[in-house]
Amino acid sequence: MRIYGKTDGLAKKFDAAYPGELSARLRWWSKTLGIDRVRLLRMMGMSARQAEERKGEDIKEMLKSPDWEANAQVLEGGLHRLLALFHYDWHALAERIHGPVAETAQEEPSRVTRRKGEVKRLRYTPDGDASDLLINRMAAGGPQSLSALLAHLAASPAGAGRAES
Amino acid sequence: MLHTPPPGTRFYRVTDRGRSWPDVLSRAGAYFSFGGRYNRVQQKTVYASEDPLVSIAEYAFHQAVDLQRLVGGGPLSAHPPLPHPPLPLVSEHFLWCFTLRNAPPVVDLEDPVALHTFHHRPHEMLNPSSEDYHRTAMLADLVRHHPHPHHPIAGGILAPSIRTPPTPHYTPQQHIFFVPHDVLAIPGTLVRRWKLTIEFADAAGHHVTPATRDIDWARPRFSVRGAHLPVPAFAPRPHAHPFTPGTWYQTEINFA
Repeated sequence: MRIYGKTDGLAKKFDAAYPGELSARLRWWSKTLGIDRVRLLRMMGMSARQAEERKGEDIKEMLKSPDWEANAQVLEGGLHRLLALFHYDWHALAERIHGPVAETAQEEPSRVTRRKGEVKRLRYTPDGDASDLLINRMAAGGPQSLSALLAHLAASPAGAGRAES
Repeated sequence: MLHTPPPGTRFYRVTDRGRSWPDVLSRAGAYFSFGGRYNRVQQKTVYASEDPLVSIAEYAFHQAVDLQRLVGGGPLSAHPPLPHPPLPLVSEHFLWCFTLRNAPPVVDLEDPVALHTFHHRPHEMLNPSSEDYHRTAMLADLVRHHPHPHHPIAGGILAPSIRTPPTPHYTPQQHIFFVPHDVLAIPGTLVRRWKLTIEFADAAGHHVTPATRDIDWARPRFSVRGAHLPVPAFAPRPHAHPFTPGTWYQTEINFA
């Protein structure tokens, strides 16, 4: 029975810590999971150039636009859903995203051997931007979105967003 | 074809923890932020049911799918592999009970008139795939925009619940309410909220550990607490009984 008390305790902590307002929630995620501002804006659907140009803007002002607000809600929902899978233990989630487990995981070979010889493994789309692909996959919806979200977070340098909030 | 829930009808919905009451009727906290069977990304939609067991089973199914994704490390395109899920496979949620101020008319998709009007096939609504929602999302679009000369525009859909096993003489159903673009949330009143714990265990009911071989994905157990009153029995369900706080119940979910 101890495990139920533990998971409920973590959930209670989350209930107390999680802000009510959307811009505050996004700042909370940035700080907690170490998401830098550009990455956060990219995950909200901005192009790389847009995100770079608008990274200094107040996020609350930005969310006055219904389109960005809707995108932010989608992102917030995905992050929330992800944390729920990890018992609401945001420290553990941040560690799993950025920590030694992910870093030391054995790399898959970049070249694999097939019957007819060696072929280059197709990682994403030819000459494509992996980040764009992940963002597109998140925006496309469905169960693949969660994998894309996690993969995108894992690509964020550890502690990147923590200084901002 | 159009069915308007009577005033005072109680609906149930499961969300993640950390959600507040205003989130519940604004679609926040659903598993469907990323789109769902009857909504595309950014189409604000609230999935609810008059039968609490339907809400729990539907939510548990999506929890299972996400956990299975973590167990498998994600698709081959995921680099690096997704992290292992924390064990045991216990998760905390809220079960909300609410009424709607003015429940909108909803289209009963299994009604013969609806089948004739929207030209969908009955088995499309019962397709067990959890990834291929194109046809049902298009159907929902048709309902959203369907002009009807004698009726108000539908505010949602009544559809069969795929994840809740049906029983003889009872078809589990979900209400899918469309949140209009110009409002933050559908107006409603909170009746009660319970904390809900869902656990996937092994076939003998033991916690899943790193050494567990078989996980009983189809029969999760759940428990409610945090309110003194039980979750009432849903009368139309045969052999329905209330869910008493602090007691564990096992349910079944359909994967195929």
